[in-house]
Amino acid sequence: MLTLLISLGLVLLALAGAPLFAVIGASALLGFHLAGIDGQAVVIELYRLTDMPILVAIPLFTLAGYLLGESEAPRRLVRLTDALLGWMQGGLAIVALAACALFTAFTGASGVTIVALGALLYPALKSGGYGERFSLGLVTSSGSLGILFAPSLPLILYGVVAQQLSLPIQVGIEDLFLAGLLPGLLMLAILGGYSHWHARGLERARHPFDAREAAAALRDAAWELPLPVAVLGGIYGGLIAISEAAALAAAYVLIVTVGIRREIPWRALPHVLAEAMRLVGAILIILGVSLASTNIMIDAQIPTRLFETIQALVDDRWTFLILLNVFLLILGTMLDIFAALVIMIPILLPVALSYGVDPLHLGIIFLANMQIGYFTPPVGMNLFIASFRFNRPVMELYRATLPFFFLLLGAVLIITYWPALSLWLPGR
Amino acid sequence: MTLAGLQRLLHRLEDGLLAVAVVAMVALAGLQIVLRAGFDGGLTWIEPALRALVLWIGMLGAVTASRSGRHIRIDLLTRVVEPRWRHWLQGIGYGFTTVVCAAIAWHAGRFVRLEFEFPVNVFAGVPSWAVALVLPLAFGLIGLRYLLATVALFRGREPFPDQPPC
Repeated sequence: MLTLLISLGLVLLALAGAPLFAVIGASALLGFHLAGIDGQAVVIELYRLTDMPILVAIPLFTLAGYLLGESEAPRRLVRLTDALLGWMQGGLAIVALAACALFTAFTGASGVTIVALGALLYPALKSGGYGERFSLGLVTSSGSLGILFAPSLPLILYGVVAQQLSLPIQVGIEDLFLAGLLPGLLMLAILGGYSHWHARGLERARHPFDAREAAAALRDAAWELPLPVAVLGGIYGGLIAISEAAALAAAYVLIVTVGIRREIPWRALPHVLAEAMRLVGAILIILGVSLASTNIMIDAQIPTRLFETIQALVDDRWTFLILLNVFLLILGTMLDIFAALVIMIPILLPVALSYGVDPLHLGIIFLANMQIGYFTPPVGMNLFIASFRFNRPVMELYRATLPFFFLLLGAVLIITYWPALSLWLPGR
Repeated sequence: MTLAGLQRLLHRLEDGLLAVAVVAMVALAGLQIVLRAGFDGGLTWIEPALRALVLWIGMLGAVTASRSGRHIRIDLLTRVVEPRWRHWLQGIGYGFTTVVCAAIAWHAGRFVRLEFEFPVNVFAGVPSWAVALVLPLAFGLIGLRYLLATVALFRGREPFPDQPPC
């Protein structure tokens, strides 16, 4: 009874706008107190952030992403993809999709894509003859496209959280990167196909392939090109560890943007660094306190009890997955992806495991749902970012993103009910 | 020195420390790769140093995020209610945050003292209490920011002066 009242109070405080780290921290402090354990245990759990070598990758990749976003790299990326793909029917829209996916994979889905790339792509799409609504919808829904591709932050964080749970099955981050590849490509293919169909009769948007422009665009992006090749090739090829890839990316981008291209002046560097680390701090502090609350939850056998309750109502895996999709979709509109990961995965993963869902598959389902949640009305975060960035009312964005929402929902359903799509590459 | 001046100094100090920590992390991680690739073996203390830097960067980043109230939150209720009520609701939420931060800072202080009495070498002679020191510091500073925000709210002002528009 007391626990119920406390939980209710904490939920109300979270709804009142208290930061989630404080809500989770309070639940951990109270939980330890009720179990008769010294509150110092919360700090000991927080200190465990120094025990996870993989976490080094989070600030390093974030830094690389923010530096790229502040430089002229987005413009060069759009120019290059346009030179290579612009000749197709719907080419410009496909350019937007490909550029956003690649960029989000590197920056994590934190609204950076809409801010950095949307500002370039939205006017380009409109002047290419695409309708206002289509352009807005495409740019907004592409803001979270690509979180299933390495080295995206949400994928790494899922691996970190899953590894804390001491499951009977290994959840390697390299395996997660492989698992996300085909589902991510499926989403790209579906949206690309829609763009291709939508652009029929739009001759203005196409231009013939120009080998000289392609060569010039390649030269223009010469400094950035080695980056995805080295990082993705290195990780997917199993040549380097993830934290090494992150270090390589951060050091390389820092040297190129500040030292060689000089697109970020030295004076502005501390500001960009601090800006990037704000996001890192916001993620890590939640991860830290949730290490403590997860501990309490497992001690109290909450996942086991939850599974027993659910099993009484749902007895097969497929029904469970349907309910999971509905639940995650709602969750994704309300909760930031990083917070959702650290709060929900410790509860959901053991339950899903009991239904025979592979942890890799669950991770991909979870992130795919969260990806749509970013632009699901009424409160998907990217809707507000796009509304602010493009100076359009949110209602208009609801309408604009609707076809994209249903297309990606279809992709999520395929991903959910066809486990092999996620599990084939990692060989599960 | 005025209070505003003191605040600016504190902001600079936090930003500066954070920048130094990030640059150190990039440099050390890069050095380790070069040593491993070129000289067949890195320095053993770099790995634990990097992990300690994760804690420092994370906590300092969290401190700077609290300056503009940019911690991850749900913020559903406050978007739909009237501004007058919004101030009260947020005030309660932020007041609660202050209390939680104070409690964690206090426990963290005890943790550091314990580590100080029984020091463990983390890397290159740096003891564990020095690494853990960032915890009471960070939660103290975050709590301070939310205390100021709470006071501002109950006086009818905006909680974070340098809040971005979205």
